[in-house]
Amino acid sequence: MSTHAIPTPFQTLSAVARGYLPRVMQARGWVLAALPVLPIGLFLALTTILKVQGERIPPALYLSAFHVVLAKFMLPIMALVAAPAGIREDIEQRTIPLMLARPSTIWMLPFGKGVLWFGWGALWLVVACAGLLALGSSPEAFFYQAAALVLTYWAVLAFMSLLGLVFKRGTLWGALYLFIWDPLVRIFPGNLQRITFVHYLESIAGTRSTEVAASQLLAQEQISTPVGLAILVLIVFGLGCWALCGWKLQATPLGLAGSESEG
Amino acid sequence: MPIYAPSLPPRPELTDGSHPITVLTRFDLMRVIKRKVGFFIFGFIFLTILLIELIVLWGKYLINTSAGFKGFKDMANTILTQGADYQAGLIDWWLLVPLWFMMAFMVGGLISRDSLYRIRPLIYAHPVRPQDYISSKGLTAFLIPMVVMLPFALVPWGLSVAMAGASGPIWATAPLYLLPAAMVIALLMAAVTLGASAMASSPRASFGWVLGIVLGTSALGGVFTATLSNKQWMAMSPYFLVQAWPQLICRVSDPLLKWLPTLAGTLGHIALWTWIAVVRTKPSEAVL
Amino acid sequence: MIRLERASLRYGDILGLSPTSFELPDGGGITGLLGPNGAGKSSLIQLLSGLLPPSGGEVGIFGESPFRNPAVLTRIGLVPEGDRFPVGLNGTRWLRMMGELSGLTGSALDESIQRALVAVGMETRAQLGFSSMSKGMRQRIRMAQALLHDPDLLILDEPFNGLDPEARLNLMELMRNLALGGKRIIVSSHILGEVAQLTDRILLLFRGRLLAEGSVAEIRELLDRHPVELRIASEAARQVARWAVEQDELVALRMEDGAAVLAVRNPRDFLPRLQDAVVTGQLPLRALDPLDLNLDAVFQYLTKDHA
Repeated sequence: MSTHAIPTPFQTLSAVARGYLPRVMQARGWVLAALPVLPIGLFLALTTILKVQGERIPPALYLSAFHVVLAKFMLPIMALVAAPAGIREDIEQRTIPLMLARPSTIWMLPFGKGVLWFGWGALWLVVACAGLLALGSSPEAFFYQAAALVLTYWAVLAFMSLLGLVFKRGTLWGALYLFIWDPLVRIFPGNLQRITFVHYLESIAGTRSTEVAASQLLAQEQISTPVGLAILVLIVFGLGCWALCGWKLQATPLGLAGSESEG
Repeated sequence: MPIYAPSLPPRPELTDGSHPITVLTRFDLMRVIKRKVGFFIFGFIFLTILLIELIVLWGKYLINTSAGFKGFKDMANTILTQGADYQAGLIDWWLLVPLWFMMAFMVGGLISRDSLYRIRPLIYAHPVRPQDYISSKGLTAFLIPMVVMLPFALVPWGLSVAMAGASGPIWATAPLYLLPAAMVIALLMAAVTLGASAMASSPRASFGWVLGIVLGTSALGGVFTATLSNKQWMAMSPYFLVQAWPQLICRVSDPLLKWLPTLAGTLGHIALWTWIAVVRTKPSEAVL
Repeated sequence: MIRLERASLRYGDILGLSPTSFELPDGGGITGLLGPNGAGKSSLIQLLSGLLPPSGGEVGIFGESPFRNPAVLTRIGLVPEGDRFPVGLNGTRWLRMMGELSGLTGSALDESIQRALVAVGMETRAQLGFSSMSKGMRQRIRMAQALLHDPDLLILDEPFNGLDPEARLNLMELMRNLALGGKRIIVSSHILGEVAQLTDRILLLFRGRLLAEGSVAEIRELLDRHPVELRIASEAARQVARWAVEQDELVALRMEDGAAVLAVRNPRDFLPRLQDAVVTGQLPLRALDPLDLNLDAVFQYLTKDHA
């Protein structure tokens, strides 16, 4: 009779994260890395050319790069690229039964894969933020900007992973939320702004995107959340989403065909 | 044992029956329409937007004609778009953004689904030429956004004409401006969606590819715009190009983009993505 | 060891497995799950391996319910059907992860991986990526992951699919050795010949129901209750027919070109008499084709009755 120990939640986390480590070094991982880094590289290249030609560099260009490019486009795209590579990938490839048939801590499996893609994406977000220093950002701003991007990525990735587990078309709902709900509701009155990711991102970064022109009619005075509270909200929200992912996987019977039985 | 001669029916002439483009387009249109979830979601979104536009139109009509709204007139005219801006606004970002999502979600699988299930070799085993195949896909991808935009170009106009004739809030000639704009938009959206679909390995991946192209080029345009302080670089993005066309054709005073970059950007994108779609669906690529 | 008490499984409105009861005792041995596509083999396997909970009734493996139960899962090895693997990983890394998810660590993990790879003959090729492996190699890796943690119960769903004859024989040999070593093995197949070569006990499933349970010999006993078709080719087919109608076991007779086709009950009694008649020259026989005297026949008879 076999007498193996049952793996602890941490051993499960470690096994999955290390097992799938090569995945971040493959095409999807490099796309994820390129998303924040390439645009900043392009900014640096263009400003270098302008400097060489003696042209004027626009003031506070780093703020445009941060808000218009990294926060508005790249971070949501990163979440859309990374989330389907999480536990959703195993469900779609129908490799999940092989993991579910093991005595591991099942609720830890989504986080085990998610933490890998979070770590990899966060690394390149920090690198991109470091590039903003060359565009005129300050070390203090760098700290807050990097924290804002990394923590928002943490929360958005967890949210997208949860949508992927709850809905068959999770990517669609996530994309609608990030690209329609977030930009629209962030200019709604009062506390409504607090139900967007971008609100917390801007609260931590300490600066705001000026782009509210598309909906001047609806534009309201934007409110702020204290930095510490914004950080806490994003961390807790992310943890909550990962916990729900774990609960969903633990509670959902997933068979060999990928379909659920009535139980 | 006797061996009987084959008794298959005679081979049909190539000119018999419907043209392959018609057959494939009809099949693809039905396949898209049968996606009930997408049909419901996007149908609801577009109907809501159309309803809002009609309510705004009704409001504008009342403000301009009813004595009871006289006090609101100045304020309403300040917050609501007027003139060419209002006409162009009938096909604006709030319609075009959901339309991009719809294209990515419902039309993005046109080619990639065939790639995933290895359908193309079966199609090419029939008298279907690659140009028939890509034309049918292009026609489907063009017709679907056109069908969505048509009510926005015609229904408010019809209501305005019915209410106040040529003096209504919407120009009597508005369809002459909006329909060409819708056609260019549909063409551009079709090209981008087909190119993305041809590069993707599955319909789900197509969704990501379409959004990736649209948003990625927007970010790229943003980089150039911010660095070079010239917003015409936004013409790199189909997202901004489709918004620019109604404004340009309706001749709004301060369009999002100017004619030349819009034309260049649109032609460039149509050429690039059509070329990718053609290359990626050649029979040599369609190996069982 | 394994006990099902009116266990059933539904997929929405579809009944995958009707209430089913059976018991397999402790100790090693191979049990075959037989049935055509859609018979309920995979449903039963999913219940046994703890992937799905029963919709009704009870499933007990080692005395406990296996669904989401690590104490039971640690003693089960599953080889599911299909050729699915995580993209972008290689065999060794994947096995390492699977071993860790079964609680193996350190040198015990290394030894287990090596032992499992040797058992399936993949010790030199496991570092290849899955996309570079042949289907047979991937099947062996799938087998290796199930052996990693030395499970007491090994469940294999259609394990011979895609394997060449040599690999099949090797896999059969491996399964026999494991069974001799005290492992309980449950193997599903819709190819009866495969299971007949391998197993000492079969469960026959059809349309979500357990039709029969027993050893191959016991199942064959069922044959005696049903007429078996024999095709006797002879230059004197009419003479054969005349002899046959005098036999008590004959149920039906039809003539073909140069042959008589007999349907007889109790072939165990009938065949020796036929043999005697041929040997004594009473019947000129050119060929004897037992049209359905094998497991397929059992299967056909049983399923025909339940169809």
